[in-house]
Amino acid sequence: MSATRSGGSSGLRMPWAQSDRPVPRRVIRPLQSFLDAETASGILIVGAVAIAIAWANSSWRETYEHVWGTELVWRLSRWSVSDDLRGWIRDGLMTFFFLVVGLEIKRELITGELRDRRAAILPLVAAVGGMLVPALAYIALTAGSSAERGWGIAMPTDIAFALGVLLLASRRTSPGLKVFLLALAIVDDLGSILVVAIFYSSHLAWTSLAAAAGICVAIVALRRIHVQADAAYVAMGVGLWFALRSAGVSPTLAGVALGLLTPCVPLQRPRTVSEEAHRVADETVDDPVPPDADAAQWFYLADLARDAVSPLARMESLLHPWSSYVVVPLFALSNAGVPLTGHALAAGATSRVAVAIVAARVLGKTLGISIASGVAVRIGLARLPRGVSWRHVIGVAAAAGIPFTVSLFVAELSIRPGTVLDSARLGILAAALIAGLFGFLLLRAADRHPAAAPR
Amino acid sequence: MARPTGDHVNAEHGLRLPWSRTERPVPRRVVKPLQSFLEQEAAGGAFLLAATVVALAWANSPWWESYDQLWRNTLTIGIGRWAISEDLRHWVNEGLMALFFLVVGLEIKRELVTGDLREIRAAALPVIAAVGGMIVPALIYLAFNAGGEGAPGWGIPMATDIAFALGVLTIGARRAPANLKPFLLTLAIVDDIGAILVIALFYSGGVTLGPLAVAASLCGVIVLCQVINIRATAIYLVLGLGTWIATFESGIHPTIAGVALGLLTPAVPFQRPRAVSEEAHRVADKTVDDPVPPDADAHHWLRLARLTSEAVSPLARVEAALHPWTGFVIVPLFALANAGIRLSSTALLDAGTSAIAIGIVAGLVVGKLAGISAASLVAVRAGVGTLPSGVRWRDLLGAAAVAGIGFTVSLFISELAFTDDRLADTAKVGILAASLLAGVIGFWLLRWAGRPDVRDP
Repeated sequence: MSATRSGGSSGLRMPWAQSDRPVPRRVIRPLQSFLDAETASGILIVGAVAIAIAWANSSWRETYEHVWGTELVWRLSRWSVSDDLRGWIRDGLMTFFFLVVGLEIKRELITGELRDRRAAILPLVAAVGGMLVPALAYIALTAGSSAERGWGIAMPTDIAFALGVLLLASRRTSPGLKVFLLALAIVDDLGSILVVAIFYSSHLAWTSLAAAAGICVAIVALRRIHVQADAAYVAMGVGLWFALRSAGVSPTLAGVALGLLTPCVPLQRPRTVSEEAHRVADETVDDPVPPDADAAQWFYLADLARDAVSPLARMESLLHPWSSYVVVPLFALSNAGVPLTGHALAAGATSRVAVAIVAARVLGKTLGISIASGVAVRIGLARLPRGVSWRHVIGVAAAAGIPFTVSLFVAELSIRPGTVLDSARLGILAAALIAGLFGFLLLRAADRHPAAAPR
Repeated sequence: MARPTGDHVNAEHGLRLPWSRTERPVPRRVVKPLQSFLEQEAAGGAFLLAATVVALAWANSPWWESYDQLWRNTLTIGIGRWAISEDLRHWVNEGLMALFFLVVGLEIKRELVTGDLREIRAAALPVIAAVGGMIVPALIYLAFNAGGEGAPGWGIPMATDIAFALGVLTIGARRAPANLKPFLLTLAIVDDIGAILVIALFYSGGVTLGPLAVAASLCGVIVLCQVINIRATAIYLVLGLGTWIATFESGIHPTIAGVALGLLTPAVPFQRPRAVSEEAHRVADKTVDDPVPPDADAHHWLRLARLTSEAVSPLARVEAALHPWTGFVIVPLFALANAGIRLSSTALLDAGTSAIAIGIVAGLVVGKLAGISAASLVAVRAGVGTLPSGVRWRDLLGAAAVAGIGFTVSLFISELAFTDDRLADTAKVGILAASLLAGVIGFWLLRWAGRPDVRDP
């Protein structure tokens, strides 16, 4: 953003949002730098949750169910796709969220922290521990009940919230700790995606699944022969979504697959593009006659400049704001509206699902991550990142216990609508609150003991 | 708005080519020849012609029932109790064709702001010619149909099909004076304005004021957003979609929303080209070839990409994005959905004796030629307009005949004018026959005008 503002001196005309009018200056620009912060998404989600809960417990509570239960249907003669708005957000819009997750996983694997296999071992082991222990705890606590299928709720970490707590709690977070949490959360995402794909798919239709696989192969083939037209890949993505939908798999996995298949190498060498940029800048004139006579040249340079960036970075810069600031808050708004009447709270507190979720998340996650990391370091498999103490690891482990987006998602997939699902949602909200506070306090405490950090 | 073509330019700069421009067998033998064909101006007309032939062949084949059934399938989009439900033919005519009319709106705006229509003195001749070419055909049609069941179809022979007319002009008149094409283009665009006004004023159903007010205020919001320099495409997409839906609900033909959006698109770039050039130099100098981490320069490049497109007017950008789709997909699809009429001997006999078909043929073939030529002659004689330099009367005669190809917009109006399928089909036979005749006559006239031994009449 700072780069855009520096343009003000070079004769560029600023769009409304970057102009010096009162609303942009006082509202929009502070808002934009706010949105740039990594924690912003978390704050927006908290707001959406608060609105959802307030709405669902207000005197208009009927409209909450009514709005999200509205059917949206596409019908072509006898063939139709129909779901309620909540379902469209869960299966449709959330595909973009999972697409961004897929992009992040791919980047971490190829050019990021997980590229160095040795450095990746600690978060990998920690994440596995942090998935197994909560899942086992959940199963132990719900064995035999109708909620047993929901063990996947206990596994995923919410990156936005966990990162938000970490940044809020410690002013001088070591980069090592942040990277550890990010890598851990990304392995977690990968695990949750596998769980959703393998365990929460109903009545697999193998022909559709084969079609989906075929589409993935076709995407790879198109990349191989250097097809660059966006429309081709958009069409493939839509096809993949429908194929997975009719295969009985969560169609959001189409997003993950597309994310992982997106190339992370630019189509053009930056130097070549630089040379073309100089040439086009020299050849175009300021006042062409007729106007737009240079349009073809400018379009050509715009395409090239985009091609100097990897498709992965392009997609991410295009979709990340939509995913974090629109899709996930909408998802929270449509799912977090649980009734908080005394009756419902009492039912929740005594329900096995809710208790299991809270226990698995708050204790299971913290213990699982800490113990797995401890074992890995003791047996010499991995080392703690520089400047990170065990207290920090335990604090981060607690923050990783915050369940949210993906947990709600898994709850929707695994538990039938009704009181059990409501209790599960309540459990997720309670666990998020408790784990968040717990993590915050532990991280604060860890910061006060810098001397304890091993070198 | 084709990109600078030619690998010879790019290859030496070390750029990596996309599949379609490589030397692999399929691109070399299929895609590249296809692309160079698409860059020609006659290409849109060729696609349209092919779609018309396919539609006619299909509708008169043993599988003609599948043709009817396909276009009768209903596509419904519904939220709760609100739904838009139309058959596929109407989705093409009212939905996709809104994009065609958006491009028409863009062309009109360009002509008005930076093109030939900017100066009314220079544009007087094509404007007067176009008006003559609308009034005379409509009067001829009414002479055959006034008071009859065909009377509502008077708007049909008023239209000119730009794609076909340009195609015939390019193929038929290789030696035509350079100024003939702009003349025909301006004339056809004025024709489009006329057709749009006719559709909006005379062929719109019972108008509901509520949704109309919503549509108008959405247009107001679009203007407001432009005034305060909002540039986010997503906002205009949402507002545009809303305008279309409101127009649809108001009873006015929803393609009019496309025209309005086209006219509202700014014709001036957001950035001064010089500022962007300077920025391009700066970014090119600042970025490195192998950044660590990869994509460390991404925000510079993406910013340059955005600035670069802002050196071009939104009008040209929208046109570049939509024109290939309207020319090669939407208008041919429209012809495929609307031109398939059964040409049984009885149907042809019906049409041959029907005042509707005769009125259309006479209006388009004779009326256009006579109306445009006479109006031009009067304008020039009266000193209001002058012939474009290099254009002779015989060239103008050829262009006037070519303007009689009413096709797309004529078919469009025939669908609006007649609710009775039998009348609509008769009208369509007339439109096809008239377009064919006008094309052949125009082609022949242009050829004749191009012969070196012909004197100006």
